[in-house]
This record gives sequence, C-alpha cells and structure tokens, in this order.
Amino acid sequence: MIVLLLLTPGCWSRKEINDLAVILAVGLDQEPQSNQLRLTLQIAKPKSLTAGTKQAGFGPGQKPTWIISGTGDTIFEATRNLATESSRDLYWGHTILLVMGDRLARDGVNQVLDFFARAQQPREIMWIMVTRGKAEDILRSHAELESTPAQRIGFLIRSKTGLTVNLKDFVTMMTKTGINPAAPEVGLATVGLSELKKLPGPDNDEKGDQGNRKNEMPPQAKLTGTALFREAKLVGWLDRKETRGLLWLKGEATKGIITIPCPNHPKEKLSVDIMRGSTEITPSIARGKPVFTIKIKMEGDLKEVHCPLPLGEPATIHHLEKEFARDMEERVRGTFYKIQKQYAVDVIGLGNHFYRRYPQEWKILAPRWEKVFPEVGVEFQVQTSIIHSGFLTEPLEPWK
Amino acid sequence: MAEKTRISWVQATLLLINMVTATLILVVPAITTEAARQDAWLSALVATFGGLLLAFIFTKLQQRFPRENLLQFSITILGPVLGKVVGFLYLWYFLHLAAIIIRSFGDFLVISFMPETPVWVFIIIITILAAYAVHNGLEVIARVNILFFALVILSIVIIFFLTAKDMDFTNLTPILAEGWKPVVRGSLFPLAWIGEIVIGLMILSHLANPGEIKRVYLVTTIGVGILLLQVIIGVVATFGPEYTSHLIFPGLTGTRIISIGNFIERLEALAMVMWVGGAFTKICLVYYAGVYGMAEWFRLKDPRPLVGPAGIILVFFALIIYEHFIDFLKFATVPFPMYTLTTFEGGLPLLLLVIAILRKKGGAGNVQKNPGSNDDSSASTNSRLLEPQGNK
Repeated sequence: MIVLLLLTPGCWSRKEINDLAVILAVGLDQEPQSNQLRLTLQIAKPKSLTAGTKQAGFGPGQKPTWIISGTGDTIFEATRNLATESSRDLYWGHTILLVMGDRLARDGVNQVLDFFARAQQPREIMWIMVTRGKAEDILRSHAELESTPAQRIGFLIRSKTGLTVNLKDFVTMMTKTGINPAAPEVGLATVGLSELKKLPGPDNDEKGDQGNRKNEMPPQAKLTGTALFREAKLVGWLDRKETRGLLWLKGEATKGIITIPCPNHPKEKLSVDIMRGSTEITPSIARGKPVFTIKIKMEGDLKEVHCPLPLGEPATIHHLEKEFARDMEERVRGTFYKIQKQYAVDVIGLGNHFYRRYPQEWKILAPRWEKVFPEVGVEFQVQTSIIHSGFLTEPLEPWK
Repeated sequence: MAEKTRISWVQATLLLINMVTATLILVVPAITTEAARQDAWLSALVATFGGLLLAFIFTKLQQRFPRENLLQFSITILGPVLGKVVGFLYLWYFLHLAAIIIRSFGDFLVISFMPETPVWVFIIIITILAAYAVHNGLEVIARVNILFFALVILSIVIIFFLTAKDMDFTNLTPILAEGWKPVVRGSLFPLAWIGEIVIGLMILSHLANPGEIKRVYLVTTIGVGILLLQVIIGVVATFGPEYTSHLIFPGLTGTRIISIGNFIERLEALAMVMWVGGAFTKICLVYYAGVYGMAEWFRLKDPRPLVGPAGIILVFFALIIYEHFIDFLKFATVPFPMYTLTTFEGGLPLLLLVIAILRKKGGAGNVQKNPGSNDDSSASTNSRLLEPQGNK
C-alpha cells in the first residue's frame, strides 16, 4: 500500500498551470503561394487578464492576449514550429473559437477539422466560423467590452443572433446524409463610437492629429452572416437578413424582430418581437419527385407601434398577424431561393428529412441529390400569432 | 472449496452489472452504430434478449449445482478428463478476457487523458490493485464494488441528463431502413459483452441464498440492457449515426461536449470515474475467476499463492495482446463475439446443460419433475440447498 501511495499520486504527463500557454482562439489560413497552412493562435496572458482588466484592450503594451503565427503542412506541424517560439507549452483545452479564412474554406475544411476532432485537448464545443479574408485579422481585432476578442466572439455567438455551430455540430452536419454544413461568418467592423469627438476648429497641429487617430475605434469582430458549404468546401455566403431566414428554416434560434408597415398607414411601421416558434418539414412524393412542406409557426409580441391602430379589436390583431406572416414568408422564400437556386446547397437538411421518411427512395436519390435539390418543390406555410401587445392597448395619441 | 465466502444477491447483481456496463458503454456504441446505424438502439434490445437466453442457460446450470462453481460442475457433468479440458478452456478465457480489459483500461487512459504516460504504468498499477483485491477475496471485491457502482451509475445518469439538450431524437429515424440484418450484426458485440455474465458461474456458488440465482441473472441482464439502451440512444441522438461510428469512445466524447450555461463544462472526469470504477471491478472479477479457477484446476486448498504469478502473467499478456487500439476494435467487432459466443458464453454452457440433463446430474431433478416450482417457493429452495452436499 505504501508503494502504491508513493506511485499513484504522481502524474506522468502533469503540467502545471503556469507552464501552459492557454490558447483562446485559433485562426487557420492558407498561404497564397505555398498552399501551406498558416496557424494563428491567440494566447491568454494570465497576468494582464487578471490584474489589468481595467486597461484591457488599451494600447499595445497591456493587451491581454498574445498572438503568434506559424506555418506548416499540417496543423500539428505548425504547432511544432510555434512551440519553438512560445516559452510555454501550448494548451488547447480552453480554445473557444476556430476561425477559418475563406481561401482555406474554399479548399475544404475536413482535413483541418480532423486535428481538432482527433486530438485530445481541443474540445468538440469550440465554435467554428469562417471569415472573408484572413482569420489572422479576426484574432488580432479589438474587443471593447470583453477582455479578449475570443471571448467577445464567444459571447456574440451565444446571444444566438446568428447560426451557432460548434465543432461537433459541424462534423455532424458534414457526415450526416442529406445535409450540407453551414457556419457563421465573422467579419471586422468599426463598431461603437469613439468617446472623444473630433472637435471642429483650427486645431491642426501634429499633436491633435495624432490624438484623433488614436481615438478612432479599432475594428472589432462582428457576426456578419452565414457561410455555406457543399461537402466540406465553402461555396457561398448569406447576409444577416438571409441568415435570419435560414434560422427559421432550420427551426433553430427563433428570436428576432420583424418590422412591417402599418396596415392603414403604409409609411408608418410597427415592430413585432418573435418570442418562440417551431419549424416542421414534411417530405412527400408527388409524381415521382420529392416535395416538401415547410410549416413555420411563430409567436410574437407587439413591441412598438407608430401609427394609430384600433388594437383593442381582435380583427386588427388578426390582420397584423397576416401581415406578419406574409413578411416572414417573403424573407424565408428569399433565403430559400438563394440556397436552392443560387448555391444549390441543402443546408436545411431537406434531404435528411426525406431520407428519414422514405429511406428506400432516398437510396436512389442520394447520389444525385445535388442535382435534384435545386428542382424540388417547396410549399411554405407560415402561421403567426401575436400574443401580447405590451402595456398599452391602442397607441398613444396627442389631444386634438 | 474451503472458503466460506457468502455474498448477497444484491452484491452479486451489482458486481455483474458493473462488470459488464462500465466498460460496455464506452466502446460499444461506436461498434454497434457502425453496423446498425440509427437502429443501434434496436441492436441493444436484441442483445438484451440474447442476453436473457444466455442468462437462462446459466441459471439452469447454476441451479443444478448451487454450491459448485463452473470448474467443479464441469467435472461433475463430464467426468474428470473432459471436465478438466473444459476447465482449462475457461481458464484461458478468463485470462484472455482479463488481459484484454487490463490493456484497454490502460489504452483508454493513455488515449484520452495522459498521452505521454506509457501504457505499462497503468497496466502494472491496476494489476497490483486488483491482485490486492483478489487476495482479499470475493466479499471484499463485492463491498468495494458497491461504492464504485454508485459512482458509475451516478456518472451515467449525470452525463445523460447534461447532454440531453444536445440530443436530436430525429437522428434515431428512419427505423429499420435496412431491415433487421444490420441490427442483428450490430447486436453481436454487445451480446458478447453481456455474455460475460458467464463469470457469474464462478461467483454465484457463494450466494447466501441459492434460490436467488435466477433473480441475479434476470436483474443483471435487464439492468445492463437498460443502461446500454440509454447510452446508445444518448450518443446516437447527440452525434448522429455517422459521427458516432467514427468515434473511438463515443461515451467520452459525449461528456466532452457538455456545456451548460457556459460554466458546467469539461466533465470528462465523470467518464474517467465510470471507466476506472467499472474496469476495476471487471478486472478484479475476471482475475478472481482466473485465480480461483486455477486453484480448482490444480486442486489447491488455498488459491492465494496463485494471485502473484497470475498477475505477472496478466501484465505481460496485456502488454503483448495487441499493438494498437484499432487492432482491438477490429478484433472486437466480429471475431471476438464469434469466438466467445460460440464457445465460452454460449456453446459450452449449453453443452454442459444438455449433458447434465441427459446424464441427470445435479440437483435439479425436483425442478424437472414439477416445472411450476421454478419460481422459487421456499420448499424447493431448501431442498436445493441441501442437495449439493449429497452430491459431493
């Protein structure tokens, strides 16, 4: 027993926390000339994360993260090259984010995802996203509210305004029959306003100019849409509005706002906040061809009304519901047109729905699904209901 | 045997359930899903029914010889020479199984948690621990196991509920798209693992009340079946059949994706608890069966001197048994079920039972006369309790 006690508590591959370089985010690009992989790692600097939270993100000196970048034929080779640059062992266990450049994504991502799914440290719950341009730039972006860009993007994703895809979801979509993967697109934008406004006046000396440049907000990462894949290759993009349509089609995150014109005053608008919803896809076969019925049910609350409407009347509400449904259907159709006709990628998984209902027929259809999908007939049924209208019944009107 | 070991039916059942389940649920979902795709959960049901058949054979066999273990009653049934041959085959089976489990115990820890540690470290440590447990006898193993069993079950349940939000039950459809063939093929492997309850034949002679043999086997098989079903459904619903079949340890990967509210994360330790707890019980039990079987075979009064040598054999056997974990998975998909099911878990016990019935050996004569008394009325239990003494 004593021998065992001496032997067992020791850990062979132990690593103390202060020997580790914790990777927060990974960027993958393809080098333009050599076609090698460029691996960019965002590593947390523990000291500036804890002690320097107040100054986090201000000035290059106190940046809470450290970014290193290296190339290799495989990811693992690139990490080995990076290991010579980092004074500590790279630790993948807390990686939040994997960003891929579009050049790499167009070439196919399954090779690079293999490393993350196979290796023991990286978790399957890291978020996957694609950027137009270089992933490196996203990692180098600025984060205003959070201390690191990786955390910023992590929070953006979790707010469910766009598609949320982690490694496990992506691999599942890639391997599952009858569905193509999609991942959120991340881009850079100058968000927020600088606190110090450029003062008008004849203040044109050098010092003032420099001051102004310093106060310009650095670009920050932002979710800009959806990247569509066929098999594992990037083929197209959806913008933010279309992404919302895709979310409804997939029945995923169903929150969001719809603004429609008032029924009686087309110039004025009213906004509905979608509270919950569901999507049901029913495949059927008509004249030997697959046909789909996509039924979307939405419930929303009235949030803002700009025009005088007799909201006390149930008839008005019904009318609004119809308006609301028509608007949603339009947007969903727009998205669907784009993925069906323009890109011909089945990111909703209609093929999978068909397979589950008609497994035998799917066997014939599966090899040429790519050709069949752009031609399938789809019927949309959007049902909406407005549940609450806030604290007011009819909108406030001034006294005449 | 001189040993006066007695265990309760709960202890025996938990031993057998833990032995089969904990190791079953880490590897089996992948292998079964590869064959049966989204119908893997049907495979689990089929395997459970197959397991019930095996359990029926084992029950009948044990009921005939409530106070004898496998090696003893094979001699009673087949006579000294053939009985010894059968006994020897079983010794091989126990050692082989023990070596497989010890090795995969080490491999799991190396692959998923400690990649830089050589596998022999784990092999030697677990063998020493198991040797200590076996040296102390069955009662000790049974008591330790209750502790481990609680941990294992708790882990399984926690993992299932925490991954529930990632599950998409449409992944389980379409049902039977390819017919029953892949389902049956997929059920072979879990069936082979459920069939390991044949080891019960080595411990149930120590049951305090032999009337409860049937209950032990019934509860064990159904318990294992439920746990297996639950894990397969969980994993396939989470990952979809295709991804599941690519994973080496779907059960582990299932715990890795747990992320609740951004702070309940990284619970792989639960999978480790499950694996270490279950594998330890299994190693102890198979090791125990091997050592006590050997003692019986060599007609030793005290099996304890054999613990050390057997342990050394097991360590070396575990080290050379296969080179890569993929070899094991390959071996485990078809050859292993075929090999164990036809002989040790199915064929031999059936043969023993048939011969025992034909030669009217064992104390089940009264059972045959009135089959209704199978459902242990206390009278027949008592008579069965008394019989073996007459046999010896």
